[in-house]
This record gives sequence, structure tokens and C-alpha cells, in this order.
Amino acid sequence: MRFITACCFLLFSTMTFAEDKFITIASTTSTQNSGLYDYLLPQFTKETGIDVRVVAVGTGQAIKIAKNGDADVLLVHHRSSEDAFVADGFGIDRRDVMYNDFVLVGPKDKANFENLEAALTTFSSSNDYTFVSRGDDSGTHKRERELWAAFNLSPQGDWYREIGAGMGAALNMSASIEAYTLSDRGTWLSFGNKGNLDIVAQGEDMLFNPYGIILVNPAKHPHVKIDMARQFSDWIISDRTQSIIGEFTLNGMQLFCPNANPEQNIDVICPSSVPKVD
Amino acid sequence: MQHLKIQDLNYTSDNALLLKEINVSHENKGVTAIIGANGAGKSLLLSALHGLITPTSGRILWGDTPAVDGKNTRGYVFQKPIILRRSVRANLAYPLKVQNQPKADQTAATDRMLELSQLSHLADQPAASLSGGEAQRMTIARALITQPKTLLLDEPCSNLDPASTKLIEGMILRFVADGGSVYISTHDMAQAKRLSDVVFFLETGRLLEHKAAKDFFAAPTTREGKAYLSGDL
Amino acid sequence: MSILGQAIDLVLSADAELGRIVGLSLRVSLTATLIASLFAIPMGAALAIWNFRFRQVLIVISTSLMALPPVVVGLMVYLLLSRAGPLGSYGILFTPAAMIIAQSVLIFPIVLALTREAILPLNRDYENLLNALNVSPTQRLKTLIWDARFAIVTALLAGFGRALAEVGAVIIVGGNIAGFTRVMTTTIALETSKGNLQLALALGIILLSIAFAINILIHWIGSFGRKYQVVR
Repeated sequence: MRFITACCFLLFSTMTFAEDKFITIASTTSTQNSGLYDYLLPQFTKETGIDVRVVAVGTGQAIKIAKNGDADVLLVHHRSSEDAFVADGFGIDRRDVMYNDFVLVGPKDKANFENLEAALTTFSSSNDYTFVSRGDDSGTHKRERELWAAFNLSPQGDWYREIGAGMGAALNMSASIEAYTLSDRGTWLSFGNKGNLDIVAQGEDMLFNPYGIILVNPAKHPHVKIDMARQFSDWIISDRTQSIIGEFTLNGMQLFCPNANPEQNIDVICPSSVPKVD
Repeated sequence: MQHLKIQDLNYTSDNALLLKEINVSHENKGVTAIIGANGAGKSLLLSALHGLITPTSGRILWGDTPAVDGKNTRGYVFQKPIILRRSVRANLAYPLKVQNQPKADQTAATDRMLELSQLSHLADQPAASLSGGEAQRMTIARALITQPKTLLLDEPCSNLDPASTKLIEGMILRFVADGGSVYISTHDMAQAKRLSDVVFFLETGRLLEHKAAKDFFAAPTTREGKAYLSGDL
Repeated sequence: MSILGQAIDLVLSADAELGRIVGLSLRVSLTATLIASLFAIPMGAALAIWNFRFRQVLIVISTSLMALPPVVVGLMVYLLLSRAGPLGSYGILFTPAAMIIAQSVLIFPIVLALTREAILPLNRDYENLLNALNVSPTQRLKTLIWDARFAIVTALLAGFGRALAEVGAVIIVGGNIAGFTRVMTTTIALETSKGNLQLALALGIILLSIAFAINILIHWIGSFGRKYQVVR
């Protein structure tokens, strides 16, 4: 009997630290791994008293979570998937938040490529190079597939390794087997185990990596906390928050460029490596 | 006084007839020794008397009650002591505990039984640490703690030294002196002579003789009885 | 091994954040162990004592469940608790409660099987006596569970260890939310993916120490229980 009481007490005590005032954001590992949320969210919670719970997964999975109604807000980076999400009625009010870019990383000094196309073409036509693909339906993976398609290349063969894992795992693997992989700049800059890896291609328009915020449609999922979610969305595109995003740096490098209000003159200079796209 | 009636008792296991056509009408008092060679069915008959096995046919009645019922009016002691993984005290209290008797009653009865079995000095030891004789005394005391009218003992003194056997016989005689009845299976004829008032003599599952102990030991009527006694003595 | 050195430094300089993560791990796994055992111990004992219909089926099912990968358990609980699932309206996906449920499911077959294994020989020893004393089924369960308590506590600790070390299920149903559902194993997974191998290893060392402590405890309880066992 005492045992049962103890059980109930423990369960109860575990449940009670679930606060009422919170929203859940389905987002991507790239934004979380960069440390942006740790930097940004405490300020929102301080101002509004709303706790923000971030479930960081690949873009594809984040969209599924939002479709099931298990999140209130979606913050991801694959424009066509985002538009489809809204078009299918699952989301409302998509807004641009920020962008950075993708970079092709690989072993230093192994080879010099004129540009991205040259690099990808070389990988697919030679057995001397290994490419690690996320293979997890994430935003980065979707973009990578689009790049091969854009250059009319078909990534197939022993040199192309689909690992079905997150960005960090792909980078860890690339570092240990001297392979190439496509990474978002945020994860790359914050990644702590670079080893012999370095950027081998960057700065092209095709590598543009925009992030958007979408509210989960309360018409589809009546339980979503639409008011708090909208409050968050409004807050993240506010001029002040946008400045804060622009000021977020890691080892002196800026990680994200705010672009919610392009006409607004934000006092932030985007790194020259990141392509300017209007 | 209750009457023990066994009517047309048969027990079959794996196609072997282990108890055959046993019929008894017996006044339930004093000590009844169940004797016979190994495999004669002594233990089986005791089990049946306590309703631990279900007869293939026939029935056993204690007064008007079938043997499967009224287990709480009888105590049963196994040949090999069954020891609960608890202290001696907790072993003794166990039958009262499962009957949800008040704690104070349990303690009082347990203290009495510790004294009766001369185990007071070992009360808080794990029962597993007892010697063979001590363990058997404990299981008899445990059987007696519910104050049964009848005690069934399955070769309680096999493998015990004479001193332990004497202590156990003392417990048995005291129980009988207080008005209890005892059924004890044994292959020790000296013990049977010392203790018993009545003898059930079994051979290959049949009850061949059922008579006063002094008559049986003086002059068994069956050839098998004669042979058993002469071979054994 | 400079990484190991840095990791040990990190453990020694453990901050409040780390304390919270370790605390949540222990709380979630402990609660899951207790909830699982609430069902698994009586059921395991019943499977050992009585021969009823479907007993073999239940044993086969529970043994198979032991081989279930945590991710599969996580996925099943996820589908159950998702807003789109049957229990979605409770809104407990991505909370510690969801993690407790997943771990309970994961531990249940282990505690069940180990309890059954502990009670089987004990019941063989006790069965005749309990029959002779006409002990009721409930009392029988209580007696056997109590007298097998040392072995059963060992089973609980084994389940607790499995829950604590498990990552696949909690990361799916908990979402690894910072400060809310982030436990030791999901932090290790996250820090590894961020390439912070020292920090990941530091957490690994803590996890290892706890596993070590649990095993010492199992060993100690085992030796304590042997005192009451009849030597044959």
C-alpha cells in the first residue's frame, strides 16, 4: 500500500511541473544545434511569461508533427514543403523569419573545386570521393536532392552514402571517413568536431536557406494555442527580435540573417558569404 | 467425537492404482500409526486424508465434512520440513497471519509455540539456519498454532537423531493428552509401538489391517502383516 | 586521452543545468519502474503460480516484448499519444509523462519475466505447505512476492537500469525539449550530434557511474537475500 502511494506521488510530482502557459514549436535540428533557441527563447519567456518547448527534428518530421496537431507553431526551412503545408490547410500565416545558407564541406586540401556544380559532378563521376547524404527527409536532405537534380546528376553508387540521420551525425561521419556533405551554415559553425573538414563550396544562389514560421491551423486542430502561437510569431518578426537574431554570433561569426521585413532597414550586416536574395 | 469415514477410496496416477478400495470407519482419537513398506501408499493416504489429492473414486469424511474442506481444523506436517524464507517466529505466525488474526493473538500464540517446540532462543534466526530436528519441531509447532483437532504427520522423524525424535514424540503425546488426534505415517516400528493406539497397515495401496496397536504388534492377522513385522524387527 | 580528461573535468564542475537533466532522468525512470512493477510483479507471480488458460500465450508474448527495440515502443506510444491518436486529447505527448509511459512499457516485460523466474522455484518449495494451510490466492501472491522480494528488487533495478540507459523511446515521445524533457541519454545524443564529444562523454560517465552503483546494489541485495534461503 505504501508502495502504491509512493508510485502515485512520484507520478504526480512528475506531472506537476508541466506548466499551463506554454507553446510547442516543431522545428529543425539546424536551428537548435546552432544555439539560437537557447539565446532567443528565454527573452520571449521573460517578456510574455510563455514557455516555449522546442521539439527539434528534421523538417519532414517537424511538418508531420504539426500536421498531427502535436505542435502549435512550425519553424522550418524548406519553402515548397511549407507552402504545401499551408495549401493543404494545415497551417496559416506563413512568414519569412531569417535565412542563412548551405555549405558544402569536405576534407581540407583534398581537392579544389571551381564551384558547387564542378564538385558534385566530380563526386558522381569518380570513385575517389565519398558523399554523405542525410537521407532523413530533412530540409537539408530535400535541398541536397534538389541540387543533384538541378545539375542533372543522379547520386547512386558506393560513393553516395545515405545515412538516415541528423546533420550532426552526417558531419561526425564525414569527419571520420574524409567524406563530403551538405550542411547548413549554422550547424557547421557550431559543430564542435570538425576534424579535417572545411568548406569547399559556398556562396551560390542555389544554397540560399530561408526559414519560415507557420501557425498550425486552429480550424484543423481546435486545441492549438493559436493566441500564444500568434504572439510568438508576431514577436519573432518584430524589428527588435529581428535585430537580436542578426546579432547572434558564434565565435564572432553571424549565423542567421533576419529577413522578415526586407523593406525595414535593420541595423545588421549579413556576412558576405551569405548570398543576398530579395 | 468426530468420526473418520473412508468409503471405497481409489486413487490412480499415470494408470497405476496407488490406493485400492480402502474402507475405514474409525473413531477419531488417540494416535493412529500408518505403517507399511516404502511405496505402500502411506503418504498418499495422509494426503488424501487432508484433501491434498483428489481421490479417483470414493470419498473421505471427517464427521460430515469432506476432506477437501475443513483444512483449518487439521494440521499437516510434511516429511521434509517446508521452511518459509523468514525468521522462526514469522514461520510459526504464518498460519495465523494468512487467516488475518489480530497481531496480539499472533504474538501470544507464537510465543506459546516457541516454548512448546523449545525454539525460543532461536526465535529471530532465519528458519533456514535451523538443524533438521529444530526445523521439524518448528513445522509441527506451526501446524499446531491454529489449534487443530487433528494432526497429520508424514514420517516426521525420518533422518532425525534419537534426541530430536524424542522431543518430537513429546510434542505429539502432549497434543494427544490435550485431546487431539494424530495420524502419523512411519516405517519405524519402535516409534509406532511407542506412540500408537491404532494401526493402519498398508501394502501396495490396500489397507490390510486396521486394529488396536497392541493387537497388531502381538499378532497380525494377515500374512503380509506377519512378514512385514518379522522382516522389519 | 585528452577528451576523457576534459569529460571528467566537466563532470566535476557539474552545473545546475546538468543537475536538472540527471534529476529528470532519475525521476522519469524511477517512476516508470514503479508503475511497470505495479502491474508486472503480480502478473509475473500469477504466471509462476497458476496454470490458467492462455498462460503459455502470455509468457510467449511477454518474452517477445523483451526483444522490442525502444524506438518501436517509442513509436507506438507516440502514435497513441499524438493528437491524431486515440489518447491525443490528453495532450501528454512531448511531456515527462509520455516518457514515463514509454519507459513503463519497455520495463514491464523485463520485470514480469524476472519476477516469474524468481517466484517459480519458490512456489515449488512452498506449494505443498500453502495447499495444506488452504491459503487464499491473494495471500499466496503476497506470501510469494514478499519472500522473493530480494530477487524482485533485483528485477526492478534491472528494469530501472534499462529505462535509464534507453534513448530511442524517450527522444521520440519526449521530444528532447531543453529544460523540460531532456534527459541524460537524449542530451548525449544531442551533444554527439553537435560534435561536443567531451560533454557527451561526460554525461556518459555519469550514466556509467549510476549503472555501476545499481549493479553494486543488485549484488548486495542478492547476498542479503541468500541468508534466508535454505541451503541444500
